[in-house]
Amino acid sequence: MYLAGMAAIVVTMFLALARAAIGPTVFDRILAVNMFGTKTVLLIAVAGFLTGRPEWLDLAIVYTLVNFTGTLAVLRFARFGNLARDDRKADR
Amino acid sequence: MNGALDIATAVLLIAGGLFCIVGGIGLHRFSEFYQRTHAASVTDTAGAGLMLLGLMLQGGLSMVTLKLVLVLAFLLFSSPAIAHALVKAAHGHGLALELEIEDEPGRDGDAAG
Amino acid sequence: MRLGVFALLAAVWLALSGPYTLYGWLIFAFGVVSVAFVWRLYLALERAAGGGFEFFRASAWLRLPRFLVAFAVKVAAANLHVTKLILSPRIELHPRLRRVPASQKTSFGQVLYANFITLTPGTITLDLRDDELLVYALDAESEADVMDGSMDRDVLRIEGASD
Repeated sequence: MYLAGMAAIVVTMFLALARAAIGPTVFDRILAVNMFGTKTVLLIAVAGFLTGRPEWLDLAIVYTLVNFTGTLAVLRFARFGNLARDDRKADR
Repeated sequence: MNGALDIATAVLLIAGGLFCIVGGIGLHRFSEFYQRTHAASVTDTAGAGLMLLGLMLQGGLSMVTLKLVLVLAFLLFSSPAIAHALVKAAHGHGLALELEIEDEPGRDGDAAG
Repeated sequence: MRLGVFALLAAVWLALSGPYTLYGWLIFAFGVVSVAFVWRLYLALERAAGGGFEFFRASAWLRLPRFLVAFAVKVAAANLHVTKLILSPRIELHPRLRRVPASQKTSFGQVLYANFITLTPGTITLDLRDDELLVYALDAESEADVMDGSMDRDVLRIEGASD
């Protein structure tokens, strides 16, 4: 059953990857890459159970947080072309 | 007892996997970026939720289950934040939004925040 | 309430590192330092937001299970609906942008409501300003989930626990 779940996750990852490659806009790509990251978290969790090593869940937790921060960083970079600029003045 | 638990886990894992694939298909069938975010949201809630629930059944009452709950909680906190940030960025960037009905915008008009 | 946040952070640290680490003084010291550091960040955040994460009271936690059940039911129904949309042979969407009042009193409650809407497939919050949400919905049925105000009431109920 773990293998069936993992197979479904991998199929979804390929679909997301295809969307990231096709594109058309940069936001589509970011969306697809974020979805890919979420699926990676699930894949790690299920694989941990498959191999009888649930400690891998720690990796899954860290990957969730890295995925979140990474997506926001890429999004910000795509929008401002800069990760460090203080854009509060530009917004208001 | 154990057999029933295994069956429940298998059902939840496979249902979650199917929802994941449905979201992936939606990512390709929907024609516009804003619509695709909804497809991604299906995999993030139903897909991830059901699969983690299935794993929780296997974990029983232990640290493993607690960690699975944490993974689910982090996912449920981060995915709406990401979805909102993406959609707002795209809208502010001026990506066209196909609409049939639209309420008139608020008093400070454009959402180019 | 601030001590509640501290306790929550400590509990998360304990859950992530395992109870046996309590016996090694070095790891324990690392834990104390990291929890204190994150707590300090939280205090700064609270000051920047003008206070108001009034969520760590016993009464709010007591109402949490009921909220979670309502949340799970709404999200499951919305998932089935969007799945039907995705798998239908001809994709027919009627996208719309609506303004929805957020009647919560605290900004925390409003953000919770906005996240609730975004998490439900078929609806996404585009913006939150002046106690109003700008909601993008896929079609009439998705929109009805939000417009009938039941989700608003769910969030109001758990928010009311903080008063």
